[in-house]
Amino acid sequence: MFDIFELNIIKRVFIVLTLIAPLAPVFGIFLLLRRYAFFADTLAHVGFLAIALSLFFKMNSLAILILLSIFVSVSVEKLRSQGRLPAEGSLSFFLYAGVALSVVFITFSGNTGSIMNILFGSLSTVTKEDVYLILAGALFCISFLAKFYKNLINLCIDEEIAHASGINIEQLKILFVITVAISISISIKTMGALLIGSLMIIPPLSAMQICRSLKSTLIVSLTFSMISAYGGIFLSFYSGIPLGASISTILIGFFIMAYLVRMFRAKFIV
Amino acid sequence: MEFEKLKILNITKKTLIEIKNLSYSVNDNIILENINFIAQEGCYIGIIGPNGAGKTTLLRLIIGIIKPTKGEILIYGQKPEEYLKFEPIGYLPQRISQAIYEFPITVEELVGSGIPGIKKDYKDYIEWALDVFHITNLKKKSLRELSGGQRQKAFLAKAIVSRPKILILDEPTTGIDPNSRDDLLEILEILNRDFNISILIVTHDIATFAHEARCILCLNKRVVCLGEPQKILKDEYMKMLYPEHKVFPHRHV
Repeated sequence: MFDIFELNIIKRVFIVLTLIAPLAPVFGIFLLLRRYAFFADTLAHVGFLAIALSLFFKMNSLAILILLSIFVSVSVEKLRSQGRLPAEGSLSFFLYAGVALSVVFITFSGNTGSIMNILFGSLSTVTKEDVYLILAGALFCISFLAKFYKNLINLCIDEEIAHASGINIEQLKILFVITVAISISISIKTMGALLIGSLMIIPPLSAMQICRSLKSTLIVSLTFSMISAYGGIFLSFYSGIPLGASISTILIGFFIMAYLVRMFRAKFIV
Repeated sequence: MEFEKLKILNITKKTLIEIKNLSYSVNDNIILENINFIAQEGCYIGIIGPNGAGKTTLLRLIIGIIKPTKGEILIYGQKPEEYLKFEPIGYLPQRISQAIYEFPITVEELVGSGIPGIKKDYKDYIEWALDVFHITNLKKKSLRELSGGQRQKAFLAKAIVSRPKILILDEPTTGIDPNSRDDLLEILEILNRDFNISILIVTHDIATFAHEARCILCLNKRVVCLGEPQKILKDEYMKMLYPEHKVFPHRHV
């Protein structure tokens, strides 16, 4: 069963998922706390555009992905902060723009066969060069979380309280969206543009059903995410289902289980 | 010797907040106009006024969330943004986003998030703040399991956990029952008297705070009056502040 790890593509996917599976739900917690879960989807669709652009211009897709995601995330945050567009409005605009332009560029690139991999993830799209870029991106995200974890909690609880406690909230909000953009960019090749949001949002959402504290939500989210990521590799390899869809299917299973536990508790345990 | 020290400290009380010629407007709509006022260290000030008088705006200007259109605010001689680089301000806004109540976070975690950086005696700070508001028994409870009054106390404990020199509260008694309100007022009195925390409170609950605050600032876009409660809370001033109301609500003890 573990023979598949002799394959280089599986080894690379394993390394990448070991880096992104614990990161994604931590960002998901903060996005949920800020009622900003849709942000992950918007950036993922912009990621779709970045990959389409890289196919069209025949360039390194991950580098374009990171730069474009950072540009969009900062633009969305600026528009939201300045009140020029409602938050949902600016997110929707970039999401639709991302999808529409992606289709345009993919059509002109003549490489429509790769759409499934872009949308739903794949075991085979991560190159050796990608692994180094993903490692650098993951280290950046880990350092950011280590330094600003508490400040982020304060930002999510209430922006004005956070400001009064001496946190530079404008700077933190921009740094946060940039880091989320990087974490999505480094995950998109394995999870796929349509399903990266599931690795960020479903684990904390499942954990919220059964946990009472932030600490336990964090631990349970990471556990769900890691099990789903590793389980997804096997499921994808043996069933042929795209990797992102395999991981998301296991995550959905965890959510249903957690939801039922909550219902059972509410009914039978006071 | 200790007594002498205290006496000197009392005499040489520093200026805590100085507001000079402050005005704030949004698109030609004047919210506050030409506010001048000085608060001393250790003060307990109640800010009252009708709806739309600019009370919350004044608090937001003091903590530097918004910037004055004209004039300036100094906290210990520094602009709010400079002061906040080194010292936090304990703050409780009028409304807190509902999202936090849907999320699993314990009272202990909420209060602990108010301590900046990593402190050695982190747990002691949390225990102290919980103890002050009598909610030590709730520390392992999730915020979503608590009543409105208990949540309010949890947020107040978060506001004081880093032992700030200034505590700013916007309508802290909204939505809590009379017993909890009296309890809260007693705690604020202790924080002010025993821990020398200066307090600024915006309130509609004039009758209650008349007995607690040492100074009342009546605001209606401008400073209508300022002084000790006994002098300020008289019908002549109240008619100026609330022209539509004929009777000022006195509290019966």
